[in-house]
Amino acid sequence: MSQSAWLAACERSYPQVYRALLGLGARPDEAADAVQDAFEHALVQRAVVANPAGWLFVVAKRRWQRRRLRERIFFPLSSSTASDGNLPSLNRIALVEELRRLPSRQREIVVCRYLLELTQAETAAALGIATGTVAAATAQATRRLKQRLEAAK
Amino acid sequence: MRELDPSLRDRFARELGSVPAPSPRRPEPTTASPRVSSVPAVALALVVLVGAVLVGSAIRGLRATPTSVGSGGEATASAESWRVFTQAPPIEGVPVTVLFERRGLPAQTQELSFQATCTSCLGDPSSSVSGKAPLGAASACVPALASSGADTQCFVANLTFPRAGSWHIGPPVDGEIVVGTKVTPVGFALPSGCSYVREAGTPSGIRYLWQVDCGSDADRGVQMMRTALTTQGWMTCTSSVDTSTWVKERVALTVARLTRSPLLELAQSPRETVQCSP
Repeated sequence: MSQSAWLAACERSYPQVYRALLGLGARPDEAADAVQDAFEHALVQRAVVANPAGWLFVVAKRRWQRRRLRERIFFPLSSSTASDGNLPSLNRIALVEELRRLPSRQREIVVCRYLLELTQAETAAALGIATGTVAAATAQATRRLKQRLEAAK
Repeated sequence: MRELDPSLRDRFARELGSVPAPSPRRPEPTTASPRVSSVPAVALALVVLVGAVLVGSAIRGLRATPTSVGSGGEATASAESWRVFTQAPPIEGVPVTVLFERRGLPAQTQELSFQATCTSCLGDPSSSVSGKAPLGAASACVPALASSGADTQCFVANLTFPRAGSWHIGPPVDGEIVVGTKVTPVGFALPSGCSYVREAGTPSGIRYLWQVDCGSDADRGVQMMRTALTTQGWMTCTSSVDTSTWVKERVALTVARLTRSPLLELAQSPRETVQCSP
Protein backbone atom coordinates (compact mmCIF):
# COMPACT_ATOMS: atom_id res chain seq x y z
CA MET A 1 0.00 0.00 0.00
CA SER A 2 1.38 3.37 -0.97
CA GLN A 3 1.66 6.19 1.53
CA SER A 4 -1.15 8.16 -0.10
CA ALA A 5 -3.44 5.11 -0.19
CA TRP A 6 -2.65 4.43 3.46
CA LEU A 7 -3.52 7.98 4.50
CA ALA A 8 -6.68 7.96 2.41
CA ALA A 9 -7.75 4.74 4.13
CA CYS A 10 -7.02 6.26 7.54
CA GLU A 11 -9.08 9.31 6.65
CA ARG A 12 -11.98 7.12 5.57
CA SER A 13 -11.81 5.18 8.85
CA TYR A 14 -11.51 8.30 11.00
CA PRO A 15 -15.25 8.82 11.74
CA GLN A 16 -15.80 5.12 12.39
CA VAL A 17 -12.89 4.98 14.82
CA TYR A 18 -14.24 8.05 16.60
CA ARG A 19 -17.61 6.36 17.04
CA ALA A 20 -15.93 3.12 18.08
CA LEU A 21 -14.21 4.98 20.92
CA LEU A 22 -17.55 6.44 21.97
CA GLY A 23 -18.83 2.88 22.02
CA LEU A 24 -15.95 1.86 24.26
CA GLY A 25 -16.94 4.56 26.76
CA ALA A 26 -14.87 7.58 25.75
CA ARG A 27 -16.28 11.06 26.10
CA PRO A 28 -16.66 12.91 22.79
CA ASP A 29 -13.74 15.22 23.55
CA GLU A 30 -11.54 12.29 24.58
CA ALA A 31 -12.50 10.33 21.48
CA ALA A 32 -11.81 13.31 19.22
CA ASP A 33 -8.38 13.90 20.79
CA ALA A 34 -7.42 10.23 20.69
CA VAL A 35 -8.39 9.64 17.08
CA GLN A 36 -6.68 12.85 15.99
CA ASP A 37 -3.52 11.78 17.83
CA ALA A 38 -3.69 8.42 16.12
CA PHE A 39 -4.19 10.07 12.76
CA GLU A 40 -1.15 12.27 13.26
CA HIS A 41 0.77 9.14 14.15
CA ALA A 42 -0.50 7.61 10.91
CA LEU A 43 0.95 10.55 8.97
CA VAL A 44 4.46 9.49 9.98
CA GLN A 45 3.80 5.75 9.92
CA ARG A 46 6.17 4.11 7.49
CA ALA A 47 5.53 0.41 7.98
CA VAL A 48 3.00 -1.27 5.72
CA VAL A 49 -0.16 -2.15 7.62
CA ALA A 50 -2.77 -4.30 5.95
CA ASN A 51 -5.68 -3.06 7.98
CA PRO A 52 -5.68 0.74 8.40
CA ALA A 53 -9.01 0.90 10.27
CA GLY A 54 -7.88 -1.68 12.82
CA TRP A 55 -4.51 0.01 13.21
CA LEU A 56 -6.06 3.45 13.71
CA PHE A 57 -8.54 2.03 16.22
CA VAL A 58 -5.90 0.27 18.30
CA VAL A 59 -3.61 3.32 18.38
CA ALA A 60 -6.49 5.66 19.26
CA LYS A 61 -7.74 3.25 21.93
CA ARG A 62 -4.31 3.16 23.57
CA ARG A 63 -4.08 6.97 23.52
CA TRP A 64 -7.48 7.24 25.13
CA GLN A 65 -6.72 4.61 27.77
CA ARG A 66 -3.44 6.33 28.62
CA ARG A 67 -5.25 9.62 29.05
CA ARG A 68 -7.88 7.97 31.25
CA LEU A 69 -5.14 6.51 33.42
CA ARG A 70 -3.46 9.88 33.77
CA GLU A 71 -6.74 11.51 34.74
CA ARG A 72 -7.42 8.85 37.35
CA ILE A 73 -3.99 9.37 38.88
CA PHE A 74 -4.02 13.14 38.93
CA PHE A 75 -7.72 13.93 39.40
CA PRO A 76 -9.09 11.06 41.48
CA LEU A 77 -11.59 13.15 43.38
CA SER A 78 -12.45 15.97 41.06
CA SER A 79 -15.29 17.90 42.63
CA SER A 80 -17.69 17.52 39.77
CA THR A 81 -18.03 16.11 36.35
CA ALA A 82 -17.03 17.85 33.21
CA SER A 83 -19.95 19.09 31.19
CA ASP A 84 -20.24 18.48 27.51
CA GLY A 85 -23.07 19.57 25.35
CA ASN A 86 -22.92 16.38 23.29
CA LEU A 87 -23.20 14.04 26.22
CA PRO A 88 -26.92 14.02 26.96
CA SER A 89 -27.86 12.96 23.45
CA LEU A 90 -25.22 10.24 23.48
CA ASN A 91 -26.32 9.16 26.91
CA ARG A 92 -29.84 8.62 25.67
CA ILE A 93 -28.76 5.98 23.17
CA ALA A 94 -29.73 2.70 24.79
CA LEU A 95 -27.31 0.79 22.60
CA VAL A 96 -24.40 2.86 23.89
CA GLU A 97 -25.54 2.35 27.46
CA GLU A 98 -25.72 -1.40 27.06
CA LEU A 99 -22.50 -1.56 25.08
CA ARG A 100 -20.65 0.12 27.90
CA ARG A 101 -21.84 -2.51 30.33
CA LEU A 102 -20.17 -5.32 28.42
CA PRO A 103 -16.75 -6.52 29.60
CA SER A 104 -14.03 -4.48 27.96
CA ARG A 105 -12.74 -7.28 25.73
CA GLN A 106 -16.21 -8.03 24.37
CA ARG A 107 -16.83 -4.32 23.89
CA GLU A 108 -13.66 -3.94 21.84
CA ILE A 109 -14.55 -6.91 19.69
CA VAL A 110 -18.11 -5.73 19.16
CA VAL A 111 -17.09 -2.26 18.06
CA CYS A 112 -14.49 -3.75 15.71
CA ARG A 113 -17.05 -6.07 14.16
CA TYR A 114 -20.15 -3.88 14.09
CA LEU A 115 -18.80 -0.35 13.87
CA LEU A 116 -15.49 -0.72 12.08
CA GLU A 117 -16.94 -3.58 10.04
CA LEU A 118 -13.79 -5.65 10.37
CA THR A 119 -13.86 -9.36 9.64
CA GLN A 120 -13.12 -11.89 12.35
CA ALA A 121 -9.59 -12.32 11.05
CA GLU A 122 -8.98 -8.56 10.86
CA THR A 123 -10.37 -8.08 14.36
CA ALA A 124 -8.19 -10.87 15.68
CA ALA A 125 -5.11 -9.41 14.02
CA ALA A 126 -5.81 -5.87 15.24
CA LEU A 127 -6.43 -6.88 18.83
CA GLY A 128 -3.77 -9.59 18.89
CA ILE A 129 -6.09 -12.43 19.84
CA ALA A 130 -7.22 -15.70 18.29
CA THR A 131 -9.93 -15.80 15.66
CA GLY A 132 -11.85 -18.30 17.77
CA THR A 133 -11.86 -15.85 20.66
CA VAL A 134 -13.31 -13.19 18.38
CA ALA A 135 -16.04 -15.56 17.19
CA ALA A 136 -16.97 -16.68 20.68
CA ALA A 137 -16.89 -13.21 22.18
CA THR A 138 -18.93 -11.78 19.31
CA ALA A 139 -21.59 -14.45 19.77
CA GLN A 140 -21.74 -13.94 23.54
CA ALA A 141 -21.81 -10.17 23.32
CA THR A 142 -24.43 -10.20 20.57
CA ARG A 143 -26.66 -12.47 22.61
CA ARG A 144 -26.25 -10.35 25.72
CA LEU A 145 -26.81 -7.06 23.91
CA LYS A 146 -29.95 -8.33 22.23
CA GLN A 147 -31.34 -9.67 25.51
CA ARG A 148 -30.71 -6.41 27.33
CA LEU A 149 -32.02 -4.24 24.55
CA GLU A 150 -35.15 -6.37 24.33
CA ALA A 151 -35.62 -6.15 28.10
CA ALA A 152 -35.13 -2.39 28.04
CA LYS A 153 -37.94 -1.88 25.51
CA MET B 1 -17.39 -17.30 8.81
CA ARG B 2 -20.26 -16.45 11.10
CA GLU B 3 -22.40 -13.55 9.92
CA LEU B 4 -23.17 -10.60 12.15
CA ASP B 5 -26.63 -10.26 13.57
CA PRO B 6 -28.48 -8.13 11.00
CA SER B 7 -30.83 -6.40 13.43
CA LEU B 8 -27.97 -5.43 15.71
CA ARG B 9 -25.90 -4.30 12.75
CA ASP B 10 -28.76 -2.07 11.62
CA ARG B 11 -29.10 -0.68 15.10
CA PHE B 12 -25.40 0.12 15.30
CA ALA B 13 -25.57 1.85 11.93
CA ARG B 14 -28.70 3.76 12.89
CA GLU B 15 -27.79 4.85 16.41
CA LEU B 16 -24.02 5.10 16.60
CA GLY B 17 -23.38 5.49 12.90
CA SER B 18 -25.40 8.69 12.90
CA VAL B 19 -23.39 10.35 15.68
CA PRO B 20 -21.59 13.31 14.09
CA ALA B 21 -17.85 12.78 13.93
CA PRO B 22 -15.04 15.29 13.51
CA SER B 23 -12.85 15.30 10.41
CA PRO B 24 -9.15 14.53 10.46
CA ARG B 25 -6.89 17.55 10.61
CA ARG B 26 -3.50 17.48 9.00
CA PRO B 27 -1.11 19.56 11.07
CA GLU B 28 0.53 22.48 9.32
CA PRO B 29 4.11 21.74 8.35
CA THR B 30 6.38 23.56 10.76
CA THR B 31 9.77 25.01 10.06
CA ALA B 32 12.55 23.73 12.21
CA SER B 33 13.18 26.00 15.15
CA PRO B 34 16.73 27.12 15.75
CA ARG B 35 18.55 24.76 18.00
CA VAL B 36 19.03 26.16 21.47
CA SER B 37 21.89 25.07 23.59
CA SER B 38 20.65 22.95 26.49
CA VAL B 39 22.81 24.69 29.13
CA PRO B 40 21.13 28.12 28.89
CA ALA B 41 17.75 26.37 28.70
CA VAL B 42 18.40 24.51 31.95
CA ALA B 43 19.65 27.70 33.60
CA LEU B 44 16.54 29.54 32.43
CA ALA B 45 14.31 26.79 33.78
CA LEU B 46 16.07 26.97 37.15
CA VAL B 47 15.63 30.74 37.31
CA VAL B 48 11.92 30.39 36.50
CA LEU B 49 11.51 27.68 39.12
CA VAL B 50 13.23 29.68 41.86
CA GLY B 51 11.20 32.75 40.91
CA ALA B 52 7.97 30.77 41.09
CA VAL B 53 8.86 29.44 44.54
CA LEU B 54 9.65 32.94 45.80
CA VAL B 55 6.43 34.42 44.38
CA GLY B 56 4.45 31.52 45.81
CA SER B 57 5.94 32.11 49.24
CA ALA B 58 5.06 35.79 49.05
CA ILE B 59 1.46 35.00 48.14
CA ARG B 60 1.17 32.52 50.99
CA GLY B 61 2.51 35.13 53.35
CA LEU B 62 -0.12 37.59 52.24
CA ARG B 63 -2.86 35.04 52.68
CA ALA B 64 -1.72 34.27 56.19
CA THR B 65 -2.57 37.75 57.43
CA PRO B 66 -5.82 38.13 59.38
CA THR B 67 -8.73 38.36 56.96
CA SER B 68 -12.40 39.07 57.35
CA VAL B 69 -14.53 36.12 56.41
CA GLY B 70 -18.20 36.72 55.69
CA SER B 71 -20.04 39.38 57.64
CA GLY B 72 -19.40 38.00 61.11
CA GLY B 73 -16.04 39.10 62.25
CA GLU B 74 -12.34 38.63 62.24
CA ALA B 75 -10.66 35.39 61.41
CA THR B 76 -7.10 34.43 62.17
CA ALA B 77 -6.33 32.89 58.87
CA SER B 78 -2.87 31.69 59.77
CA ALA B 79 -4.18 28.67 61.64
CA GLU B 80 -7.32 28.06 59.69
CA SER B 81 -8.07 25.62 56.99
CA TRP B 82 -11.15 25.10 54.91
CA ARG B 83 -12.88 22.22 53.28
CA VAL B 84 -15.89 22.58 51.06
CA PHE B 85 -18.27 19.70 50.54
CA THR B 86 -21.23 19.31 48.26
CA GLN B 87 -23.65 16.65 49.33
CA ALA B 88 -24.70 15.92 45.78
CA PRO B 89 -23.50 16.52 42.25
CA PRO B 90 -24.41 19.86 40.71
CA ILE B 91 -27.73 19.29 38.95
CA GLU B 92 -29.37 22.06 37.01
CA GLY B 93 -32.05 23.76 39.04
CA VAL B 94 -31.95 21.37 42.00
CA PRO B 95 -30.90 22.76 45.40
CA VAL B 96 -27.78 21.10 46.75
CA THR B 97 -26.49 21.33 50.28
CA VAL B 98 -23.05 22.86 50.47
CA LEU B 99 -21.05 22.48 53.64
CA PHE B 100 -18.12 24.72 54.51
CA GLU B 101 -15.96 23.29 57.23
CA ARG B 102 -13.47 25.57 58.92
CA ARG B 103 -10.89 24.52 61.44
CA GLY B 104 -8.79 26.34 63.95
CA LEU B 105 -10.83 29.49 64.49
CA PRO B 106 -12.52 31.22 67.41
CA ALA B 107 -16.29 30.92 66.97
CA GLN B 108 -17.07 34.51 66.03
CA THR B 109 -18.24 34.35 62.48
CA GLN B 110 -21.99 33.81 62.22
CA GLU B 111 -22.35 33.90 58.50
CA LEU B 112 -20.08 33.15 55.62
CA SER B 113 -20.16 34.75 52.20
CA PHE B 114 -19.22 32.41 49.43
CA GLN B 115 -19.06 32.29 45.71
CA ALA B 116 -19.42 29.34 43.41
CA THR B 117 -17.75 29.64 40.05
CA CYS B 118 -18.25 27.30 37.17
CA THR B 119 -14.87 26.34 35.81
CA SER B 120 -16.26 24.63 32.73
CA CYS B 121 -18.64 27.35 31.55
CA LEU B 122 -16.31 29.52 29.54
CA GLY B 123 -17.92 32.73 28.40
CA ASP B 124 -21.19 32.07 30.20
CA PRO B 125 -22.23 35.12 32.26
CA SER B 126 -24.44 32.99 34.51
CA SER B 127 -21.51 30.87 35.56
CA SER B 128 -21.07 32.38 39.00
CA VAL B 129 -23.36 32.24 42.03
CA SER B 130 -22.94 34.08 45.31
CA GLY B 131 -24.62 33.33 48.59
CA LYS B 132 -24.41 33.37 52.35
CA ALA B 133 -24.07 30.34 54.56
CA PRO B 134 -25.16 30.72 58.20
CA LEU B 135 -23.23 28.99 60.93
CA GLY B 136 -24.68 25.53 61.43
CA ALA B 137 -24.97 23.42 64.53
CA ALA B 138 -22.01 21.26 65.47
CA SER B 139 -23.92 18.27 64.17
CA ALA B 140 -23.86 19.82 60.70
CA CYS B 141 -20.19 18.91 60.36
CA VAL B 142 -19.36 15.66 58.64
CA PRO B 143 -18.88 13.26 61.55
CA ALA B 144 -16.82 10.79 59.57
CA LEU B 145 -14.06 13.31 59.08
CA ALA B 146 -11.16 12.94 61.39
CA SER B 147 -10.65 16.68 61.23
CA SER B 148 -14.05 17.50 62.71
CA GLY B 149 -13.54 18.52 66.31
CA ALA B 150 -14.09 21.19 68.92
CA ASP B 151 -12.26 23.81 66.87
CA THR B 152 -14.33 23.11 63.79
CA GLN B 153 -17.18 25.25 62.54
CA CYS B 154 -19.55 24.28 59.78
CA PHE B 155 -21.56 26.63 57.62
CA VAL B 156 -24.40 25.19 55.64
CA ALA B 157 -26.15 26.63 52.61
CA ASN B 158 -28.53 25.40 49.97
CA LEU B 159 -27.21 26.32 46.59
CA THR B 160 -29.00 25.96 43.27
CA PHE B 161 -26.58 25.54 40.42
CA PRO B 162 -27.76 27.22 37.21
CA ARG B 163 -26.14 24.46 35.21
CA ALA B 164 -24.17 21.27 35.60
CA GLY B 165 -20.44 21.34 35.22
CA SER B 166 -17.25 21.68 37.19
CA TRP B 167 -17.69 24.16 40.01
CA HIS B 168 -15.24 25.69 42.40
CA ILE B 169 -16.85 26.74 45.64
CA GLY B 170 -15.17 28.84 48.23
CA PRO B 171 -15.41 31.97 50.30
CA PRO B 172 -14.27 34.90 48.17
CA VAL B 173 -11.72 35.90 50.79
CA ASP B 174 -10.10 32.96 52.38
CA GLY B 175 -7.10 31.34 53.87
CA GLU B 176 -6.07 27.99 52.55
CA ILE B 177 -8.97 26.34 50.82
CA VAL B 178 -9.00 22.65 50.28
CA VAL B 179 -11.84 21.67 48.05
CA GLY B 180 -12.92 18.22 49.08
CA THR B 181 -15.97 16.42 47.89
CA LYS B 182 -18.44 14.20 49.56
CA VAL B 183 -20.83 13.44 46.79
CA THR B 184 -23.83 11.29 47.51
CA PRO B 185 -26.80 10.63 45.26
CA VAL B 186 -29.44 13.33 45.31
CA GLY B 187 -32.48 12.29 47.32
CA PHE B 188 -31.25 8.91 48.39
CA ALA B 189 -29.70 7.52 51.55
CA LEU B 190 -28.25 4.03 51.60
CA PRO B 191 -30.13 1.44 53.66
CA SER B 192 -28.43 0.13 56.76
CA GLY B 193 -26.25 -2.81 55.85
CA CYS B 194 -25.01 -1.12 52.69
CA SER B 195 -22.03 1.16 52.40
CA TYR B 196 -20.21 3.06 49.72
CA VAL B 197 -17.04 1.34 48.66
CA ARG B 198 -15.77 4.74 47.59
CA GLU B 199 -17.30 7.53 49.63
CA ALA B 200 -16.82 10.20 47.01
CA GLY B 201 -18.56 9.83 43.70
CA THR B 202 -16.30 9.38 40.75
CA PRO B 203 -17.28 11.45 37.78
CA SER B 204 -17.43 9.21 34.77
CA GLY B 205 -17.63 12.11 32.39
CA ILE B 206 -21.28 11.37 31.81
CA ARG B 207 -22.67 10.31 35.13
CA TYR B 208 -21.62 10.08 38.74
CA LEU B 209 -20.93 6.51 39.71
CA TRP B 210 -20.84 4.93 43.13
CA GLN B 211 -20.07 1.38 44.07
CA VAL B 212 -22.10 0.03 46.93
CA ASP B 213 -21.41 -2.99 49.10
CA CYS B 214 -24.54 -4.63 50.52
CA GLY B 215 -22.92 -7.94 51.41
CA SER B 216 -21.87 -10.95 49.39
CA ASP B 217 -25.32 -11.70 47.98
CA ALA B 218 -26.04 -9.33 45.10
CA ASP B 219 -29.70 -10.44 44.86
CA ARG B 220 -30.26 -9.54 48.46
CA GLY B 221 -28.45 -6.24 47.91
CA VAL B 222 -30.71 -5.39 44.98
CA GLN B 223 -33.74 -6.20 47.13
CA MET B 224 -32.44 -3.97 49.94
CA MET B 225 -31.87 -1.12 47.53
CA ARG B 226 -35.32 -1.58 46.00
CA THR B 227 -36.95 -1.44 49.42
CA ALA B 228 -34.97 1.63 50.42
CA LEU B 229 -35.74 3.44 47.17
CA THR B 230 -39.45 2.72 47.46
CA THR B 231 -39.48 3.82 51.09
CA GLN B 232 -37.75 7.06 50.17
CA GLY B 233 -40.31 7.91 47.50
CA TRP B 234 -38.55 6.77 44.33
CA MET B 235 -40.65 5.36 41.49
CA THR B 236 -39.49 2.69 39.07
CA CYS B 237 -38.85 4.09 35.61
CA THR B 238 -37.29 1.20 33.70
CA SER B 239 -36.22 -2.20 34.87
CA SER B 240 -34.27 -5.00 33.23
CA VAL B 241 -32.40 -8.05 34.42
CA ASP B 242 -29.38 -6.19 35.73
CA THR B 243 -30.42 -2.56 35.78
CA SER B 244 -33.25 -0.52 37.14
CA THR B 245 -33.79 3.20 36.84
CA TRP B 246 -35.72 5.12 39.45
CA VAL B 247 -37.11 8.62 39.36
CA LYS B 248 -37.96 11.00 42.17
CA GLU B 249 -39.12 14.52 41.53
CA ARG B 250 -36.80 15.63 38.74
CA VAL B 251 -33.81 13.37 39.15
CA ALA B 252 -33.11 9.78 38.20
CA LEU B 253 -31.00 7.10 39.86
CA THR B 254 -29.87 3.90 38.20
CA VAL B 255 -29.02 0.76 40.16
CA ALA B 256 -26.99 -1.87 38.33
CA ARG B 257 -25.28 -5.10 39.20
CA LEU B 258 -21.60 -5.27 38.48
CA THR B 259 -20.32 -8.14 36.40
CA ARG B 260 -18.54 -10.82 38.44
CA SER B 261 -18.88 -8.88 41.66
CA PRO B 262 -21.44 -8.71 44.46
CA LEU B 263 -21.11 -4.93 44.45
CA LEU B 264 -23.86 -2.74 43.07
CA GLU B 265 -23.36 0.39 41.05
CA LEU B 266 -25.40 3.55 41.47
CA ALA B 267 -25.39 6.11 38.70
CA GLN B 268 -26.87 9.56 38.56
CA SER B 269 -26.74 12.07 35.78
CA PRO B 270 -25.49 15.53 36.72
CA ARG B 271 -28.26 16.92 34.59
CA GLU B 272 -31.80 17.26 35.69
CA THR B 273 -34.10 14.52 34.44
CA VAL B 274 -37.42 15.96 33.43
CA GLN B 275 -39.33 12.83 32.57
CA CYS B 276 -39.05 9.10 32.90
CA SER B 277 -38.73 8.17 29.24
CA PRO B 278 -35.15 7.93 27.89
